[in-house]
Amino acid sequence: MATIEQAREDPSLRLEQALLDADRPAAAAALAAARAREGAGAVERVLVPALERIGAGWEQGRLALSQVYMAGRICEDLAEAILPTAGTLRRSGEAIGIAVLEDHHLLGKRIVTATVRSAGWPIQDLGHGMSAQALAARVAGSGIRVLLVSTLMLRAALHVGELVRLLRAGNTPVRVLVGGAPFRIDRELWREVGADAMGASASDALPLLERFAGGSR
Amino acid sequence: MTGSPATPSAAARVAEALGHREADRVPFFLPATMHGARLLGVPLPEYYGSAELMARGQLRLRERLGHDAVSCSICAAAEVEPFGGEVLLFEDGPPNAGEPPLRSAADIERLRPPDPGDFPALRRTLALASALRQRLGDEVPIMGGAVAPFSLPALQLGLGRWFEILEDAPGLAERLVRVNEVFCASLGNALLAAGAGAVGLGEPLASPSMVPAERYRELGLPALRRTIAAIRGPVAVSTASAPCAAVAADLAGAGAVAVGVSGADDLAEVKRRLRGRAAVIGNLDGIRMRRWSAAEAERAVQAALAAAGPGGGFVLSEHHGEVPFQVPQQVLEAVADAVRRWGNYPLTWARDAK
Repeated sequence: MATIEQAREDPSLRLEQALLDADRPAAAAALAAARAREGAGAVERVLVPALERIGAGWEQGRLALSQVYMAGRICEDLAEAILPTAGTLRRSGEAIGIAVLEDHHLLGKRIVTATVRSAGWPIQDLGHGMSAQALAARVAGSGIRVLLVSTLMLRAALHVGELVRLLRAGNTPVRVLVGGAPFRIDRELWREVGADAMGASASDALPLLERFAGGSR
Repeated sequence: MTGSPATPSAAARVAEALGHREADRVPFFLPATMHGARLLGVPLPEYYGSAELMARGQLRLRERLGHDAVSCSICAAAEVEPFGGEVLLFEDGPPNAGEPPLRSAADIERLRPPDPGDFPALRRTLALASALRQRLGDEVPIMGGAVAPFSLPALQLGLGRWFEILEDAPGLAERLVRVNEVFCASLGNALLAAGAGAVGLGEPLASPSMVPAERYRELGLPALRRTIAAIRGPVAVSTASAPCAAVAADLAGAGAVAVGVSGADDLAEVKRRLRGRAAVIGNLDGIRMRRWSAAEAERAVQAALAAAGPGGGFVLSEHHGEVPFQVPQQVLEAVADAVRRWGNYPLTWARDAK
């Protein structure tokens, strides 16, 4: 944990503290100060590390999911305001989609979407409460090449196996990255269902997208 | 399963444990509601639609496992129906809640506490409690279940929206929690009146992994305390598989006679923190159970017994409140066998190992 002095000096630590306090004005001020100092690199060098530390803090049991969620939502709004719709700050690469399989509880999807968008990746929301068949049909022909699948219950996590089979059977060239409680508890489950990778927290999505979606700013 | 002087009834065994005393052995509880359907050969949607089938399934399961308590809780999702939500049924897993029914501040402001008996899924829950009580008498404890007032908004609003309201509209959050307190206490008392001997409140949002403990103590904990005070019977509280160690003493202080401990917690440490104030229930991990061999089940049971068994005050159980449908029946039987093999007091083997 950073000291108060360090947090004052380091814009990323200032932003992190403001996010943990869910203090939107302080977060906006911290990011504005970072932009003044770092220019276009503020998202990459200040915002993304702050979100990554918050995600790691949750995984290590130091922070609460409510803090991760609020931090993601605030960052999504802040990033939206400074990232142009098309331009050098936006990442380009393979098309990315996200969906919740077999559930109407959206928290995981919203946290991941906020984190991914905050880091400059465009991401398409494919919906929630979807069956494996419906999601496979939605992805086929959509141009999506990286699919993030959020699950809450074990039965939904096991349905990823059916989703992967349908996508492979349809020759849909898409990588399937999974997340959610069942995958965090059973660290072999993502392999069992045939996913390409799993993320234990929302910030894990960022290195996974670097790996699977590629592209550049 | 009638008790004798040498073999106490399940109810007596559980009562001894909750009283922090050693009975003949550590009691155990496997909330494997769905496995009853499998034993009856009935599809889950049909099973969940009938209190009679669920009662028969629970009894059949108990004949096989001999566990010391049965559950009359159908599913947490049943509690969204009184607020306008939908219960979704599946062939391969528990019922789930549909879209969160409360969508706006106005929805919360106009909310009045509903009567649990007015809605089909909760009526079936109450009928299940009655059917089990009729067949089991006082020999076996029947656990009712309800979602605690601070955690129910996860189903009513969706968790993200609830986090936003907690942060941005504390007055609205308090109003919703107050409505939920009345509903929760009313459901708890209806369960007791129908035949449940105790009520388990699910309070996952008490876990510091979900909401910072200081925030929980501002709104959730006082609501829990008032709710427990309004329920006319013993109440256990569980964070439903989320870590609880940092707030376990708060939950006991709110009036819980027992606290459900997560597989992620240090069971011995939580028991030490609650010593003499509340018993501990836990902490087998249902998701991991799916892969267990008989030997792994035995080792997990032994570890829990050694951590929390000595001195009483412990009920061995799955930690989430529902064993996944995908856990093989043989694993449940291996757990039951291991408790009978290793759970007999005075647990000399566990004391010697220390």
